Amino acid sequence: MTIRDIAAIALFAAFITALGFVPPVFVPFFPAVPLSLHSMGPILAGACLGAKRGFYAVALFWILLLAGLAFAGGSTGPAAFMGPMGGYIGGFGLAALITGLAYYYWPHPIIAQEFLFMAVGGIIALYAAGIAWLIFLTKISLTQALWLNAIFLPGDSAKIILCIFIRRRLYRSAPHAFRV
Amino acid sequence: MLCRPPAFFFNLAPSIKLAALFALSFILFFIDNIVILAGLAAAPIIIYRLAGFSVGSLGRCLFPAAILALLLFLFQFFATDFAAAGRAALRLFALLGFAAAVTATTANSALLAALERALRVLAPFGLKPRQTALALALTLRFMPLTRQIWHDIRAAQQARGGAQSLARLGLLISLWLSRLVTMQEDIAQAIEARGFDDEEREDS
Repeated sequence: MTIRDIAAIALFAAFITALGFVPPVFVPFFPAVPLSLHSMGPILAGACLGAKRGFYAVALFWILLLAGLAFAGGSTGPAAFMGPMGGYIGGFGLAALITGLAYYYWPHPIIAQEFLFMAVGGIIALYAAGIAWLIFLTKISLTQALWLNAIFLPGDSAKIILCIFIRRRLYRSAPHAFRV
Repeated sequence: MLCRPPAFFFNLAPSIKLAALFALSFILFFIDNIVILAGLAAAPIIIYRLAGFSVGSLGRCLFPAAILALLLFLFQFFATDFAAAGRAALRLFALLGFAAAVTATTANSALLAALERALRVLAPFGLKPRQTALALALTLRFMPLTRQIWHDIRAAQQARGGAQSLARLGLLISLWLSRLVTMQEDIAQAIEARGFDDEEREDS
C-alpha cells in the first residue's frame, strides 16, 4: 500500500467521522424521520476507494469511535458499539466492502446499477447487521426489528441517490482520487 | 463526601477495562434475574459518583440511546410482558452505563494507545503496524481540517441564500469531498517528498 493509499484511507476515515457531526436533515417527501448522513460515509468510501481500502477507512473510524474521538448515533466510546446502534456501526464495514466489490466487478455502471450496488451495501447489508445485533441485544422478534427499520427506508433511499450524485460529481472533478 | 476522585478507576489499564466490558457484554445476556439486572444497571451510577462525576453527566451520555431503548421497551411490552421488556431495557442500560463509565474514566490518548498495542497483535495476520500508525496519525490530522472545510463551504452556501434541498446538500457534500481530496493529495505529496517510503521500510 502506497502513501497515497494510506492518505486516502485516512481522509475517508476523517470524512466518516465528520459526517457524524453533521446535523440530521429532513427529507421533503418524508419529514417524519430526520435523515442522518452518517451511513453515506462507508458507502462513498467503498465506491471511491474500493472494498479493501474502504473497509480500512471504516476500521480506522471504529478505532476512533472506540477511543471516544468520534460519534455515532449520538454515542461515543465503547457505548456506541454496545448500544442499539452497534450493529449498524459494525455494518458500516460490510457496506464499504460490498459497495466496493460491486464497483470492482462493474467499474462503469449506469445509474440504475449504481443504485443497486449502493442499496445492497448501504441498505441491505447495513440493515442486516443492525437487525441481527438489535435482535441479540433486545430479544425482539425479526418482524418487530424489520418494522423498526422500515421507517428509515425512505430516508436511506434518498441517501443512496445523494451518494450517486456525489460520486459522479467527484469522478468528474477528481478522477485520480478513485482507487477502485 | 466526594472531594477528590479516587485514582483507582482512572489508573486501571484501559486494556483491562475494555476486556472487562466485552466480557460483561456477553455475561449480561445469560442473566435473567431482574433484581441482578437492576443492580447491574445501577452500578455505573455508583462508579460515576465514586469517580467524581455527577449522575447528570451519565444521563447526558445515555440520553441518545434512551429514546430507542424506550421504543424497544414498548415493542417488547406489547409483544411479550412487562418483565421481559424490563429485562431487555435493564440489560441495555447496564451495558451502556458501564461503557460510558469506561469512556469517562479513560483518557482518549490512553485508549488510542491501548488500541494501537492491541493492533500489533494482528501483525502476523498481515496488518502492518507502521502503516496503521501512519493512517491513524493522518486521520487525526485530517479530522479538524475536515470539519473546518465543511463549515467554510456551508457558510459560503448560506451566504448565497436559497432554499435547502437534497440537490443543494449533494452539491455541498461533493464540493466538500472534492476539497478534501485536493488537501489529501497535497499532504501525501509532502510526505513522499520527505522520503517516507513506507514499503521499503516495512520490508527491511
